[in-house]
Amino acid sequence: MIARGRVLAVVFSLSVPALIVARAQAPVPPPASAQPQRPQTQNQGVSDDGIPVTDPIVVRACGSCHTRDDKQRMTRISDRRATPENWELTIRRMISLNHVQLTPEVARAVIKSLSDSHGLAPEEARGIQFEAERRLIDFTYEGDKDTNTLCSRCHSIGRVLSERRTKDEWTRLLAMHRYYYPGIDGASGGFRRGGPPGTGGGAAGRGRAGDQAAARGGTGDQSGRGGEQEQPMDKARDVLSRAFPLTSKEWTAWSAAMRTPKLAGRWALAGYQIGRGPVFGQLTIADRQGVADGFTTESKMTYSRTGETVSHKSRAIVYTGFQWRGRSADAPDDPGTWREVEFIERNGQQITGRWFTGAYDETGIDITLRRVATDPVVSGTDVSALKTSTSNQRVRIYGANFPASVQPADVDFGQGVRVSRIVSTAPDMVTVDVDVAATARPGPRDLSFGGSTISPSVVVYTKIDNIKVVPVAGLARVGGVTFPNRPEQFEARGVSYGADGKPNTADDLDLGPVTVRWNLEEYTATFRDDDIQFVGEIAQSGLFTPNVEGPNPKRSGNRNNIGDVWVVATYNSTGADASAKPLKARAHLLVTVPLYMDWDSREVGK
Amino acid sequence: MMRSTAPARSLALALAIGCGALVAGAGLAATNLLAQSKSAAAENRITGGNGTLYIGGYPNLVWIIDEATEKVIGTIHTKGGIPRRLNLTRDKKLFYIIDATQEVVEVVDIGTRTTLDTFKLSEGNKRVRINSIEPDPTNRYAILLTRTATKLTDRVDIGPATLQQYDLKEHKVLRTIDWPDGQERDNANLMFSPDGKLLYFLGNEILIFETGNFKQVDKWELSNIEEGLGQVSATFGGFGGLDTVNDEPGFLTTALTVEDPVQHRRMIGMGRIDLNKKDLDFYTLGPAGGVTIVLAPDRQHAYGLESAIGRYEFWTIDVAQRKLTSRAEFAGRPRMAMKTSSNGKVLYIYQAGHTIDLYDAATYKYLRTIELDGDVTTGFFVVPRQTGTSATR
Amino acid sequence: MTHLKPINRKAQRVVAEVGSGVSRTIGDADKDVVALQQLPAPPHFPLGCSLAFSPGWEADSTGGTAGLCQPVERDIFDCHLGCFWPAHVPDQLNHAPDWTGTCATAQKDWRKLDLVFPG
Repeated sequence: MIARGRVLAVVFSLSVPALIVARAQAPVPPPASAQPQRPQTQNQGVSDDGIPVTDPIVVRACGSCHTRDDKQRMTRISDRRATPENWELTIRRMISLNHVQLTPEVARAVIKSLSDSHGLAPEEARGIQFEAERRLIDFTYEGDKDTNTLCSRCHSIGRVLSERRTKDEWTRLLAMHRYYYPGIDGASGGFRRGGPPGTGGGAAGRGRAGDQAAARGGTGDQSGRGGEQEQPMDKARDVLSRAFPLTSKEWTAWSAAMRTPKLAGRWALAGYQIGRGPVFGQLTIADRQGVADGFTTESKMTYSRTGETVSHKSRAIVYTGFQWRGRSADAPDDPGTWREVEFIERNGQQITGRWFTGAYDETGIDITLRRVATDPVVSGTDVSALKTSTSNQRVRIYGANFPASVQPADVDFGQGVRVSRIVSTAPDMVTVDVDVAATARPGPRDLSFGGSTISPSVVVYTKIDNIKVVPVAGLARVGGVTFPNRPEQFEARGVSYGADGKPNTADDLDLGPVTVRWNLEEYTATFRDDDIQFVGEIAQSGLFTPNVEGPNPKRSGNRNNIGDVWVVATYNSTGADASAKPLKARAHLLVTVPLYMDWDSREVGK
Repeated sequence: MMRSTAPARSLALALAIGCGALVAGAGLAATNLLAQSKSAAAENRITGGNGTLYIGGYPNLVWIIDEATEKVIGTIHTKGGIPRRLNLTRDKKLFYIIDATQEVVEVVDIGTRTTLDTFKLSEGNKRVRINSIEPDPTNRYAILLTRTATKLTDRVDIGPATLQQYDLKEHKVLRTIDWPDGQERDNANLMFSPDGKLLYFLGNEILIFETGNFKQVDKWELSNIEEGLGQVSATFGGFGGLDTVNDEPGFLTTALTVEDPVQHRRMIGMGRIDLNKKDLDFYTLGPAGGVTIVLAPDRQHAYGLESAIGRYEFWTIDVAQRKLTSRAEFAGRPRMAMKTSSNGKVLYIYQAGHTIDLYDAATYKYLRTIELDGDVTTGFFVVPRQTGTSATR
Repeated sequence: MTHLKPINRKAQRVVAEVGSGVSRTIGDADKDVVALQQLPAPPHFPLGCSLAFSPGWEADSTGGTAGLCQPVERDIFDCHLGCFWPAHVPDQLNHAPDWTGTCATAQKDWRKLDLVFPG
């Protein structure tokens, strides 16, 4: 893994500690373009709905350019609400492109303050947690497909949906894009179209470069006429202004109710890491002295498949009363290789989210924390599926505060599943043997034990009808010489077609991970496709490791080691008769180029 | 396929022909074979002619390449920053260069390799970005397509696209030209008539302005030129960046697409536009795809480049016969652009990177690569040797 | 391409529009391909991958890599100079004006390129 310290072309890095604050240098005079000018546009103030900014740190850091009115509303800032990550992006841009000088400490304080006073309510954030969690899912903003496509040309739509702005503010956001990236009007971004839609073959293939076609921004009709239909950027602005306005009743309510959550204490941890299976453990949260809304954690967890135990420490800050942002702190100088993004439920009893690491945050554990008091709490089981007509299937139940003495009848999986024997007990784990009747009805089951119920826990099934590979559309990036790579972990899961016996119907059951043999096959997107020789290798653990970056002289055209391939899983069920054909499934894997810029959040959580 | 930079041997060429590669019309191939069979390999090296090639590079230069030897013989040093777009005047004597920030224009005399002028419209907190520049034939003024981006204290303001007449000597804006129909456009493909009296807005609808007051005096629609032919429109790439170096003054040769009204089939064709007479001579070549077409210097041939993914082809069009006479796949790569050499025998494939590939126009065989010692930043220009200009060596 | 199923309960199906314009040939070895009037179901693009397909950064308009620059390093300074991939490649105009400083020809000197952390 390439150390990132190798870099950089950074401008005014926030990450360099103690950089600026006490320096006796005279402030660099801003260039002419940043001199305060009498604004020449309308709406130079804030909207009536603008949210006041009362924190003196923010006022001091931002007030020389963002003036404040007599109602304590600051231009631009008061008309916007956003997630901590988006506030960080803004502040970094102020520093790198607007000649603002802030120490890292002040910058972090500003991020915290604005995330609290101008943030998203829990209901507004829930649907887009994947963005902060750096989770690669399939997501479309269904509200308007054109807006989804336009904004997704360069970055995840999640970044856009993490914003709430007045219409003027959405307009100014688009203007900012066009100021810094002039090509965005044309082929690079499609903000504006050169002519009426649907004309001709388009010029997207030649939309840039020193080639003269780029000079004309050539998309669409060559007459260059744009006025007949709404420009894509204007449509997007209208859609976003209506769907994501500054004022919402959710925010009004939450900003009144918001407070430092009460989290100190014990928590039962249940997690899942693709390719490694379930993980269970105990986690303690403590208040962090001297840091507002700050917490530390210590945890110990076990991967149930292998028995491997991992200890983990972290430091975190809670933004907006519910947004947990943590970084690992296993040693005093730990740069925080693991990050934690979690959502704290309002009842203070459950926290869910993702812990992740890797140059592209590709390795992650889905985490659920349940508060532990004195009563038993069930976290989950190691086994994910129970087959009918079997006996003595061993199941480990994880949790906390389990009683020392347990009877089979205390553990309830529902109809047709009987605990035949308690094998062992411990405060955080009970091992049982289970018989499943032939008549047990297939489907997900709730598990109740000690007054705690987890729903669902295991799935009862009759047979594995098929397998599937997840993710079905994988992504890897070459790297390893100068730039880090992005591996992709695949997993095969059993599938039962359910009572109707038909695939891809509503009663299909996911049976959890199964062990398979992995191999790659060429995905013939073109004739003479030879990607499979170059893109990388898949281990029998399901981990695909891509090849290195850079032109490969051994490849025709000196191409990179990129391409797309099938990832194929073959499953031979144990105990199946030898003549039974193995089950197979496959996924598509795109092995592509690195990113040369890393916009990822660096300050949130610090 | 070969990607080596070793000079091709004519023998290899003859072998390749013998191996059944598609070739241009038989007559041409026969002539080549005859020529080769007479002389030693070294004398038969196909070159592009005796013109000069130009392409921009970091951080502030334009490479000058002698077409016959394919060697860099010098550079023009730009004063206006990283050159990003070169515009060659019709008389082939000047480059108007726009830099990477799109704010600075530099006028360079090709013969003396010197900068005659630089100017910009930006000042203070206003960045005036120049999207395109079209000088009048006498270089007294230029039509600029600009958009102003203003940086205010706490926000930015982006203005509308504007057409301006700019006095090149006095360095000032003479007037803002009203958009046709009052509709702001993001692109304006402009061309002056050879005598400078008319200004054409090129598009599926060609608008004609007089250059006294820049009022529209006429227009004609390409799209409905003939009953039964169907909708004719500019293709992929279209009028943007049209290379008119080989066209007769007042004429434009370009690829056009038609969709006929009976079968609704989209086809690509050759269009020769007579701006003066408002006439279009058009004939179809085949099914529509992603082909760009350039006219050869002899005006008897045109060459096409098909660059759809996985289907890279060279085309040859016989202008006199009005048909596509050959088509062949070649290995190619994504992102290619093509120009003909000054003698019409070589096709240059360029765009980004640090190489320009040479192909034999007659047989489509790969010949050689010109390697530069840095990545290019602009388009590529072939300037034929002209009598009366200063020596290019 | 098989019907994509949501990966988890939160996932929704991507219906990424194909970027405007690049003609796609759908056909077989027959050279006389006719572009179809109707496009088939759009391909899948991982979240965050660029949808500007000229020719594309992670994927071309067909969701694969055949249309990307060959190799990427050949065209990379062109991308940088035009600020064409603002979220993927350092932009010359704002964040990384000197990114090419130690590197004349990207295809040869790509090891000298820096990973840029804007801000």
